[in-house]
Amino acid sequence: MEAKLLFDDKHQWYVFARDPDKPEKIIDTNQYMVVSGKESLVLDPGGIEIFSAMLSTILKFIPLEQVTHLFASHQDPDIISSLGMWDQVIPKAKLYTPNLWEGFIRHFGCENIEFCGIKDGGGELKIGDTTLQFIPAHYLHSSANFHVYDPVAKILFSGDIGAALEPQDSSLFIEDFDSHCDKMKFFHQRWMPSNEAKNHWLKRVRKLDIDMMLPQHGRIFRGKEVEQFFDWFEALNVGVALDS
Amino acid sequence: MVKEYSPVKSAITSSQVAGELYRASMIARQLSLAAKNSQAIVHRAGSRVAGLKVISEYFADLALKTIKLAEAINTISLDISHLAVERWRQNTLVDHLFDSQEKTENDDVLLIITETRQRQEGINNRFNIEIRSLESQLEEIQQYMQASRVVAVSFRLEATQTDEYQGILEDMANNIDVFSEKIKQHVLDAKSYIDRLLQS
Ligand SMILES: [Fe+2]
Ligand SMILES: [Fe+2]
Repeated sequence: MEAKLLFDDKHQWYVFARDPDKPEKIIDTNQYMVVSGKESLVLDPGGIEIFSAMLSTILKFIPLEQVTHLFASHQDPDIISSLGMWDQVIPKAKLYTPNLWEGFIRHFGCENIEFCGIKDGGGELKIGDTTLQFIPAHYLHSSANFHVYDPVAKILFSGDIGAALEPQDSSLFIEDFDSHCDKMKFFHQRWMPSNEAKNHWLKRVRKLDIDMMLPQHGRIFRGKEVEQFFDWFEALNVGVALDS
Repeated sequence: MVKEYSPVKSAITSSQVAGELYRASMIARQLSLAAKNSQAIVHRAGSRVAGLKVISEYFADLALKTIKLAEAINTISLDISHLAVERWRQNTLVDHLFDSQEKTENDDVLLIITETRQRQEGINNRFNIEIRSLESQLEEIQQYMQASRVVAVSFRLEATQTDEYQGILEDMANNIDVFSEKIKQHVLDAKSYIDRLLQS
């Protein structure tokens, strides 16, 4: 699994992606990790099929005792079906995830890890010396859904928003925004159910100072590509299955 | 019956070994850079450090082998961790099957249990074989590091016989020592993770 340092100052952001050993029909996912002091947060740790690759990749950078927090933006299997395994490997960790999904996510197995539900309005979480914000992104696509914003690194982790369906060996960063839109279009039109939710989210995130936007699938947005994405997404009509 | 180690511990151990060997391979790259530098010096110094030519070639070769081996071990430990997770899932399945069999007393379930058990044994055997080969590869990389300490000694010896290159050669010898020691430490840590698993 490829690993890259995205931000390196007093705390760090890593991306883990493009696992070559993952079974072919499984959607490719990007996992992220914030490390601050002796604590860390793994964002959308991924499905059960990539668990062993994730564990090994994380341990390249930090010892197991420092994997202290998990975050799941929503309940999907590509996000958190590995929970039952993490539950035994890091039993003292805490899982931050939408409160609404508790009864569902626990089906993946959560006997040891402490379940910390995020209320609909969002909230904050301190990892080491770094304070991260949970930004509501409800109905995009999941009924209860959060993104994570780091005001110091100016990074927004945007879950399924900004996702693109790409071949396994594609670059981690966008090279040409216009051609990238083709790879995002179907995903957003079909998976995102509501224009109202979309506009609500846009209003919220446009107020944030963002250098990098990190989606759970596809490529990372840098600099002006973030604003370009917001404009593109705003103009896109979503929830299209209703017309079929 | 072959010993069956806890799959949870096995998955953690193999991932920890992969992590140590990743760090070792990063240092091995620095070692290889040192080896290239030493070849450059030998080339520049010509006959004044004649004794070093063979040893610096040997060193360059050793450094490359170290990188390869460290990367190979890293790959094997990833495979082992896949196997451990696979075994883990099978174990969970068997536990659930026993539960279900107890509740229903259904012979069909017994049959599935037997089949799963067989698969499990196969995976377990492979796991045990892989972990042994991992051990012997770690042994091998340790021997490389001993050899590279010998290289450092020769560099120091040669340094006392030249004036012009004395400082560079001594620095180089120190570098080799430091890198080899670091790699050795990662290998030792990897070994102790495995020992802890095997003794559990
Ligand atoms: Fe999703
Ligand atoms: Fe997703």
